[in-house]
Amino acid sequence: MKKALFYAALAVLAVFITAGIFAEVLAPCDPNAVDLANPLAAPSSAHWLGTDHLGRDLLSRLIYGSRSSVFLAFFATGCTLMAGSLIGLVSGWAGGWLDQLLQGVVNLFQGIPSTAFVAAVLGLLGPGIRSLLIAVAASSWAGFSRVVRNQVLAVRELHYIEGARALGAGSFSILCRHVLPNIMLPLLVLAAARVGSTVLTVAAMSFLGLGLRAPAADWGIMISDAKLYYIKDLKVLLAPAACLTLFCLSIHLIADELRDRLDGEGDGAHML
Amino acid sequence: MLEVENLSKTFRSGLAGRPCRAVDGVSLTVGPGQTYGLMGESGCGKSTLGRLITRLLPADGGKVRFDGVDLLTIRGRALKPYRRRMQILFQHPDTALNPRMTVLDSLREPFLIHPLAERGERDDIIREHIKHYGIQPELLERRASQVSGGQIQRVALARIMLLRPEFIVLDEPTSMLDVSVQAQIMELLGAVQAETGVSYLLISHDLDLLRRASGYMGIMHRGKLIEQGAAEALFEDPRQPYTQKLIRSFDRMKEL
Repeated sequence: MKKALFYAALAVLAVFITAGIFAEVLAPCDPNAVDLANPLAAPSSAHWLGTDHLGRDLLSRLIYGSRSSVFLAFFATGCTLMAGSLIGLVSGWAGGWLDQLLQGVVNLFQGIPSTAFVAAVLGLLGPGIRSLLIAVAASSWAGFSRVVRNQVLAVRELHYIEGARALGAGSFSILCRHVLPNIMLPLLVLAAARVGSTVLTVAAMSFLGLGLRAPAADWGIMISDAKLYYIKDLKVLLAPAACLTLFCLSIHLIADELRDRLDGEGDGAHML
Repeated sequence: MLEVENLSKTFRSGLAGRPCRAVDGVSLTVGPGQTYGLMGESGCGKSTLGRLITRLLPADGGKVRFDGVDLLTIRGRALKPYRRRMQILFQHPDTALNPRMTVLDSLREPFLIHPLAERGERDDIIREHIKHYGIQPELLERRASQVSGGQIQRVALARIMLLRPEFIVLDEPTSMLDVSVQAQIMELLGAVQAETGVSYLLISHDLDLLRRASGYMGIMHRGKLIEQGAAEALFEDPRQPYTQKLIRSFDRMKEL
């Protein structure tokens, strides 16, 4: 049962990613083509899922929306992962006062409610993709860096690390050759789980008008647009919300299964 | 060859923790081609001493002279040539090699750090080299996590010997192995020494093993080297009450 769910989740994720990559080919219409004569139309052969309040094709907007939502989420998580890992590696490897200083900063950042923080950073930098990436990375690097630091502390006293130092290897090469490969897997699981919450953050910010701006096709913007019309036509709200839910659900199922597999290997993923 | 003088290390746990003198003013000398056996109970500081000598831990005070040069005063890159000349073999085979790397990759590592051979020759050198250490060529492609403890210790020793070191700290190299494998590893260590003239600091809590393997011995107790001398003399005529007790209890063990 759990296996089946995992593969179903993989399939769903694959669909979203494919839709994002091949949006131009797959989308039946231009996502921004307004047809004011045809607002909130019911599904038909021309518009499989019907249209929104401006007569734009809902399916096409969903497909283009998966491009911005999903890819932004992956990219933002990637940036967070890199920033957090770098700081965690330095903190765990250097130890001493630098470690204590960095962990103090980590504590500070972890204490801030992340949604409010992202909104504040976006308010400061102004809306847009770049601001969104910075805001997401700034709000969630701390958790990554803490996990990385703890993993580094766990492996740094192992014989093969000491052995490499005894051979004369420098810190940089030890971190790249020995430390990173051995802490990578639990880190990737954490990152996978993180993608789900990032897509929600991105959607929430777009909903608030702080992320991507209308008329961009984005799930958050679609939900925001729908808030005035869903009483007349529920599908304009349900369609993007369903995509968001499905995406997050599949991400969490995948991360969960990956974690279970790692735990079986005794790789310390239970620390997450 | 190696002269340790008044070496000390104190560990502190936290700000308020009581300081623990792990190594307390230890002095010893290991000559070329010699095996110095270091005996002590768990937690007496003998492994810490091995790490201080190989500069894996910073010492608080004292001198470690290698060929007349005090290693503790050398910093950064200048230490690298000395790293090649002195090595350490660890106790736990399960973490001695990076579990995600193949045995071959582990054996390649010395070449990445020190200019030992041309790039094209490395694998041939490794394949020829491992024959002397009883390592099957099939083992090279396996990951360290799929290799037995005795084989890991062979690989770890072979890897160290690629550097042609002059001195090796053997930190309980056989204590985690089966008895039959222990003997093989000790034989291998003896053969390597006979062939290359490398010196050993053999750390162990096994008095019998030390007696058989080392010419010179020291007894460590609570961070201090309380007695040292030629191995046979030390067994015949131990001066310190602690050493006498130690030898008596080992004799009793044998009678049981």
